[in-house]
Amino acid sequence: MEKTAGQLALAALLALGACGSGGGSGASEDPSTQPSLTGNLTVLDQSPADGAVQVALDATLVVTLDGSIVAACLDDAGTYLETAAGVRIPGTARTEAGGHQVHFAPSAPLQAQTDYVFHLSPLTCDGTGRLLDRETRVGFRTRDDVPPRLLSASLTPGQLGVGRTDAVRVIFDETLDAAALRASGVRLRRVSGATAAIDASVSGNTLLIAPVTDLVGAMDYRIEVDAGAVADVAGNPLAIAWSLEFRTATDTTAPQVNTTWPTGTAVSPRATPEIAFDEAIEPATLGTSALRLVDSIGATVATTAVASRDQYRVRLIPHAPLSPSALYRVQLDAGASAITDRSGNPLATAQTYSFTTGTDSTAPRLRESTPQPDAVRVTRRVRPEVQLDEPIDPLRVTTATVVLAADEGAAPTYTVETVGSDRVRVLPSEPLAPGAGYTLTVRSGLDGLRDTAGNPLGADIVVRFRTAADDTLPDVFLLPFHGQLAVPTNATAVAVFDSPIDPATVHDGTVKVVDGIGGRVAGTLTVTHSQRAIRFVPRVAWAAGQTYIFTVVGGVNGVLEPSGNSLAADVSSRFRFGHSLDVVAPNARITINDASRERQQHMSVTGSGFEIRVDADDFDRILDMSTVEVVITGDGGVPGQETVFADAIVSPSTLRYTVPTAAALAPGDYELTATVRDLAGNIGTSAPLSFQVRAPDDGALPFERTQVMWVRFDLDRDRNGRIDHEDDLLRLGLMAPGDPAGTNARMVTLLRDGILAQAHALLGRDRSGAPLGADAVPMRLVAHEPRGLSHARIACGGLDPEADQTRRYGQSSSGVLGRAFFDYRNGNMRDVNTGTSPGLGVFPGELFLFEARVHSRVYPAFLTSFARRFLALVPDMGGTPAGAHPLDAIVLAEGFDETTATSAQRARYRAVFDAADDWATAVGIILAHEIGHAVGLVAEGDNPRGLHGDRSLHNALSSATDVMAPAVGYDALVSLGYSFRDINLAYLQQRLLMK
Amino acid sequence: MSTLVPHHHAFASLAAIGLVLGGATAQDAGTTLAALVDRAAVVAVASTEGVALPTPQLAVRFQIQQTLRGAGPGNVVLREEGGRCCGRALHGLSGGQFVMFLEQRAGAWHLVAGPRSLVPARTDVVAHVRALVATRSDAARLRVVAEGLEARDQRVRRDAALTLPYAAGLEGAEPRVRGAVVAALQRSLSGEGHDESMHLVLSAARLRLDEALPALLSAYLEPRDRTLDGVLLRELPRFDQARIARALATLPGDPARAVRLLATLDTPAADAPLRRAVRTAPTSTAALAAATLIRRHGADAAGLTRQLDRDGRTALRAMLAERRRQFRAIAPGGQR
Repeated sequence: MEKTAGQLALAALLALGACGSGGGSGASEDPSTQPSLTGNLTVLDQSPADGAVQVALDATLVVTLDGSIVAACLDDAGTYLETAAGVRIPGTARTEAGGHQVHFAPSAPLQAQTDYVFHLSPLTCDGTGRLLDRETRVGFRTRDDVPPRLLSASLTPGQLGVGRTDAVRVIFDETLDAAALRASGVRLRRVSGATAAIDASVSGNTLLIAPVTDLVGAMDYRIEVDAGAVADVAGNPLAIAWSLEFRTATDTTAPQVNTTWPTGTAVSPRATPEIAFDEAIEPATLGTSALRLVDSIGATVATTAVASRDQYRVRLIPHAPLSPSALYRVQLDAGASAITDRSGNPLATAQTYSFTTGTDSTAPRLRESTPQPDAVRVTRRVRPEVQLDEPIDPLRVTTATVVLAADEGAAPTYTVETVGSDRVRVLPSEPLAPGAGYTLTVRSGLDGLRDTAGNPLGADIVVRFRTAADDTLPDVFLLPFHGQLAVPTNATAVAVFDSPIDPATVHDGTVKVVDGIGGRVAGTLTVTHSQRAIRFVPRVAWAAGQTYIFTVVGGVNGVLEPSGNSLAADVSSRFRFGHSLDVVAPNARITINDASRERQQHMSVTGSGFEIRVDADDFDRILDMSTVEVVITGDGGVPGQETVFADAIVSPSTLRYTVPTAAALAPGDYELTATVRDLAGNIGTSAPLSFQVRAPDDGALPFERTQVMWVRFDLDRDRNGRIDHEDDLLRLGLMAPGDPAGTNARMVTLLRDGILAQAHALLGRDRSGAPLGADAVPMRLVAHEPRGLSHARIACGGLDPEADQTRRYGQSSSGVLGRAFFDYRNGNMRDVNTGTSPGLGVFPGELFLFEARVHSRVYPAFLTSFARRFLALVPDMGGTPAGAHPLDAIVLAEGFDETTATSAQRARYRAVFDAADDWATAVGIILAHEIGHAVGLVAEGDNPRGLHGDRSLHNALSSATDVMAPAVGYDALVSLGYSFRDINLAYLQQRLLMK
Repeated sequence: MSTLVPHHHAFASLAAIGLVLGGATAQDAGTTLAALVDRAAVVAVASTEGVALPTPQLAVRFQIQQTLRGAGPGNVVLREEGGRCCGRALHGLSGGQFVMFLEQRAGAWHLVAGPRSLVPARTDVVAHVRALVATRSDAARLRVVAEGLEARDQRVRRDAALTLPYAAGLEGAEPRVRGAVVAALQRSLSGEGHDESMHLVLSAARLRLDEALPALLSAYLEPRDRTLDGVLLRELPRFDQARIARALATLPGDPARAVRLLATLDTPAADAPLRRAVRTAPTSTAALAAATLIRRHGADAAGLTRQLDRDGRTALRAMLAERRRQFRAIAPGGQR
């Protein structure tokens, strides 16, 4: 990269001996030895592995990377070891294996049976300046020979009045291994001896013991956990058995009948009557005197009464089929001979229910299933269905009777529904895993699926299938679009998919056109354009003024991708034809990197990674985007039209194609044109667009690797004894003098991180600075000094250093919110924008002074946007600063839960943090603006020498939401969604080059 | 400074604009024409006479041709650091006439606020500045600024829009001023001068121009883009809320947008359309409507939740999500 003498002089002042050239002395580098541009380091291995247990106390932690790490960068504050509780562990990091390994040796042996987390800083770099750019965390547990220790339980020994359905939680001092639970070692029994059924489970450090059925009232119980019944994740079993006794609450409430089945007529002679109660009943009281089935003449039918596992339901199973076409009654007695609950309370009143049998005693049978048994390449969007040969009881269609299970891996979440009267459908909450085996089981038996007469399924229905091994799922849009009116009568109907489809699945069963009264329209179907488009041409011309419905069928039996994946559901478009032909051609416009019309010509780009975009519009709004053809002509080989369309993202009016590395254009001059037809076949052609491809190794790219910017929140440039960032927060009432609630430190950090998060968001990074994708700008911001890594610096905080530093509330702002060196093409990756003469950096204090002054002049007649947020906080505006309000100790504390707070607490929480959020948003945008200058925005003039900047080095003709606008106001900063303008972003993403 | 500024380096500065109270002392970089008029000791029309090489300073001599305010010199030499400097005014000047806003510091003349206080002396600009200089009252200033809303010159028109929301005495503005704001707002929302929309919305809110409500509601319900969403959701509740609620009674346009606006209103008139949304809108929108009603009227709110689903969980989840809504920049809850 070409360097000026000035730049080299400035660079020489910085960070001698740091890793990476950082662009400051790039003249000595041999490009042939460089890694890929802005490529990042990769972790190859780590020891111990993440999640390891029984790690030795004298272990050295080792992370292996694909570059030779510079030792000095291991001093970065982001590289450290801590306990899971957050206690830092001192130690030494060094490089080994020729720099490819980072070794961290704790200063003292680690504590046994302790969870640790090792952090390797994202600022870890190699000798060429490549960054890790993402934090690496390795969690592990040290040698652990100590059994888990019981800390507490949800009951106290001897507790009285315990609920009869309450589960008991037993808390241990460490995480338990769920797979090591020995259920037989956990018991709940009456003190007098009888054992109660329980469900025991482990979650985290908790053993949950849930009674299967209601406990007996006023009864003494004992929980017993045997030694070895549970174990920690290191495999150490519980060493000492534990038990606890309690007494349940007194229960004098009689049970009630909730529901009965069957009712009505035409009941199967094989039906087994069921009664559901509002609490568990005592099975020992289910004698024939308490509950019986009698026929029409009052004779008792021989039955066996069986209670469900939770004892809330009782089923009467006749010893022989009932008589057809006969009346039956279920009788429940009251009083001394009645069914009782678990505590001995009898039914209060006798009850009788009747039903009449019919003649249907045939079990339902499977008619067909979707998918079919043992099907493969089943769409991940499948909604499995089974169809029975007769109507089924919808009350029995539940996730207990219809079970979808994965052969391995996580179980899918789903619901089930009845479709029509005889079909059951499973609705997974999200597409199934690719290339995975699943089993759909419809349960038989008395608790399984049954028909409406009550005949249970004779045998389980089991359908095994395997999903498509394809991560992607298709989508489609239809033309004419849904709801369109006055469609020209010479139009065709087109479906455009986002990926190729299997032509064999396109036929009149999967693509349908019907008229307004449901009549099928005959026509011809063709699959075109890289097998991404389906075109329907009617055999007979469309009827003018008529409505048609164009449908592409989804699901297993619809249009499929070659992998087998499908649309989630049918997609339809209903439209009406007009009475005229369309003879007007559509308009097409082609651009690179989303550049606007004024900035699109003569752009200079690298051979790949830039985006070609076609925008089309049509007078009749009937574009046929399946016909877009992009023609690239020029000095080297170019991708053909089919290739472009096959890889493009197509929407109803745009086509976007990012040139992949595999199809990179050779250096040279090129021209683009695009054509697009409407549904009537009229063709529109774009104006040609010239561009140049250049090799990226001639210094034309702004970033040679991910650049690091140290944002100096720690400066005290007004020399008042307090850092300028804190001066800002005191002025704003975002922290309080004297720190009465001990919250100032948190607010300082919160605002600092928020400002960085906003700036990072504009750079395509998450709030920690990690890149969100390939289009992230190679610029990472940090709030602490990077060690051993060349970096740029910018001040953030306080007043404009060029103006009076003693100004206070009510006095004038200098009007300058920030100032930074303009660095053409980012020639120097070590810019220093922290000086006071000239005053450089970001000056939030000036924004405050300006807004405060406006407020003082219009209040109370008007409340500005700033005042609405800060009136409650700024001391000079009569507010109570964060940390000085009686509620602040609560609402500003970490872990404050807004959802459980009082309304007063919530109001104060919102008052403080909505203001803080606005402020961080505004300052973060200004910070991004100044950083933009520091990396070459906005070079004056047109491409390829400039970036359409104006004489002031801001965007000419900027919009209201442009980060690089020459001027901004608070209202816009906090109200509008800011972003870098097309060309600015393309430059930052290195999708265009400058000469 | 020159020793620290490499040849290719320049300064880039970001100036705060607008938000300047008419008739008040402007901030140093208060850069609307009205603010500059108030701040400058001398306002003059001048032409460039000579440009010195930027070694180490760039100096430009201006011949004053007409003084609009104050008693200035016959000519003035302005100096700035050499090199390309955003935030500096003199680089690249080759000739022409300018309106200059000057102040004297340390015995030398300076531009009040960098490049934005050196404005090409187009006819409309000179006339507007002359009119601003001549005003002697808040009412007169408002009239001039309001006339600026209709100017063809972009600087005049934008500055007028930027000046007005914080102008002194705006609440008592004459009908012609109110009419000018409504007209400018309608033009702006229809796409002409879209960048001025936000400031015109603020002015309309401060004036409580209910006659602008149809245009504002249309801009919200059927947006050309979503740039103004945040501003409109924040400012519309300053207008006649019952009238807004009535306008939204049928949930026109996108029901989700209508319900989001209804949720910001504090009027019983909003209840009916919210209840309609509970019954008819898609689930997430219905949930927001129900959550709003629950917040206003208490937990069950006449069985609203059960209209959404059997146990009302959807509405309750929406309400909790609303309470927990994420911030844009800060992360007090530690979200990443």
